[in-house]
Amino acid sequence: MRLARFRLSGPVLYLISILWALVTLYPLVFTVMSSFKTTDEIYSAPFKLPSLYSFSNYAKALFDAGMLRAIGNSFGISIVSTLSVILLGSLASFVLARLGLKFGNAILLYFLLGIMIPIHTTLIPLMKMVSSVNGHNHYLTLILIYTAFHLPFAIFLISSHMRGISKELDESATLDGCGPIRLFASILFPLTMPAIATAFILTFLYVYNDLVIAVIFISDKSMFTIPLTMLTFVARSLTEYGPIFASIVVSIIPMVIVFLAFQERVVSGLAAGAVKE
Amino acid sequence: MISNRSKYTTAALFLLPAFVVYTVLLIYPVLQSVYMSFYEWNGIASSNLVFAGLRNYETMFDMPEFWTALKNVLKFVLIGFALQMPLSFFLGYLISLKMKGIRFFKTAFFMPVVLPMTAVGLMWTFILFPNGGLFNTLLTEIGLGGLVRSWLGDTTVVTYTLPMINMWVYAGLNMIIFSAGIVGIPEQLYQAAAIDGATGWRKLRYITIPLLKDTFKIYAVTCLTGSLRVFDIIFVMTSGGPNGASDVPATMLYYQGFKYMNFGLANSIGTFILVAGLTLSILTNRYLSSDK
Repeated sequence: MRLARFRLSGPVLYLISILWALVTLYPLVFTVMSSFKTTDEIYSAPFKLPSLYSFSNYAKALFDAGMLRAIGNSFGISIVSTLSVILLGSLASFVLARLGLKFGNAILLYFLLGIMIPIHTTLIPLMKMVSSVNGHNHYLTLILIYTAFHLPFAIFLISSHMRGISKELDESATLDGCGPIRLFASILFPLTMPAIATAFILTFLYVYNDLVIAVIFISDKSMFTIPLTMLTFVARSLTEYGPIFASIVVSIIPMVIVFLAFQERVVSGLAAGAVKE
Repeated sequence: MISNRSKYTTAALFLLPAFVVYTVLLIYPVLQSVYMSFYEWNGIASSNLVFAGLRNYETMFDMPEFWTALKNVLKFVLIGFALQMPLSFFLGYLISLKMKGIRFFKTAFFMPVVLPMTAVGLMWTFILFPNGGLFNTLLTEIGLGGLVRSWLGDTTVVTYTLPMINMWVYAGLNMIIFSAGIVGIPEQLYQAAAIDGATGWRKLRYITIPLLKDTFKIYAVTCLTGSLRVFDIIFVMTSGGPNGASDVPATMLYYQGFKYMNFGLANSIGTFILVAGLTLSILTNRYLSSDK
């Protein structure tokens, strides 16, 4: 029974809940409604439903503004970066959590230090480094930088989960002639799947939402990610709002789907990320 | 057991890729930023750094813009503690109750956290448009026309608008931190208090809040370090404007470096963000745990 907690009466709680839900959801509803409207209609009837559901704003956003290509770019970069974080992170976690190295803990701490680093501090040295190898406008540049930035948190999640798995497993597997690579690939990696899935979803979310790294290292329009495409689109079409709202909706939809599909993992993972900082 | 030789070969092979990428692209740039903050650099990769001693820091502390940026961070901190903390605590309490429909509310409250900041920033920019924007129209329609403002165009108002939008985004995340703490408090404590005649607010005051000390500490650290790192929302919504009024250290670093090519100064700002963040989290942790 939960009745003993401090409490306000039910209706008041519902009222406040509904109020804050309105504050969080109404702007999104408004954005979706506006994405179907003409600029005139957005101005003259902001609260009304669209008079007709025309997809011309979406066509403009996807094709004229280049959102379609941007979606492809963002997804490609995010997926490859995420896979690279998961691969490098789980390999490193295996070594640090299972092999009992002499300096294992020190190395783990060294990796975890990265969670506390404010990324903006690294921008100018990174730019210097990238210029010296002519790395601007290369997907590989972004992927490597994202990998470095998100490895610490992935290692934190994966290694703490791997530590919790019984060590006897390794011993019996080794006795049965299982080498370290097989031990990792066919025993520990599958057993760590819950933590790996969380790390995967979060890394994807962080990379997909990144703005500043793309702003600094990508200037070739055909390589623009979603945030870059939206910012340039806004800068050049300030008089037509409908297509801009459509592009906002398009960029939001994938994250809403990921969130609704993996809600528990996303919520607990992001909270763990915030707490670790 | 795995033989020692194969153990170390495996360790080296498995660890090396992560170690190299992380060291070269995160640790080295941080150290390099501190180092470069004592040098002038013209932005051309092949040209040399020129030693500048403390000159970049002198320039930084002499700039009124830097102090404006710090004041803006302070506003993020103030709103973070005065409004966002009670709100997040309350939302965390709400979702810890077994109310009907709580799953829906939890989803709704958390939704802004996962959305791309660029989309959120643009959405709010349009909602807050001074003429014909949704927010001002709404104010006029419910008879609060006197409150209509240029939310992003007024140099004072904007410095409060941005932390409020930030709160819209992050209240849901902090709600989870608080609800985790609230759920962890043993039920018996409340029952015992009820037997002693404690009512709602007294339970809150004498049980819930004192027992959530660690949660509040975590909140304090994330609020302080988070405020020092704010970037995206300002970059998207105001570009630090109007006239630098809404700049924060991270946006100043970006504009000084990538727009005005003052790389030395930008690195000293970067070093400041790093050192201030570490100092604040160490101090908060120490201060809030020593007076137990």
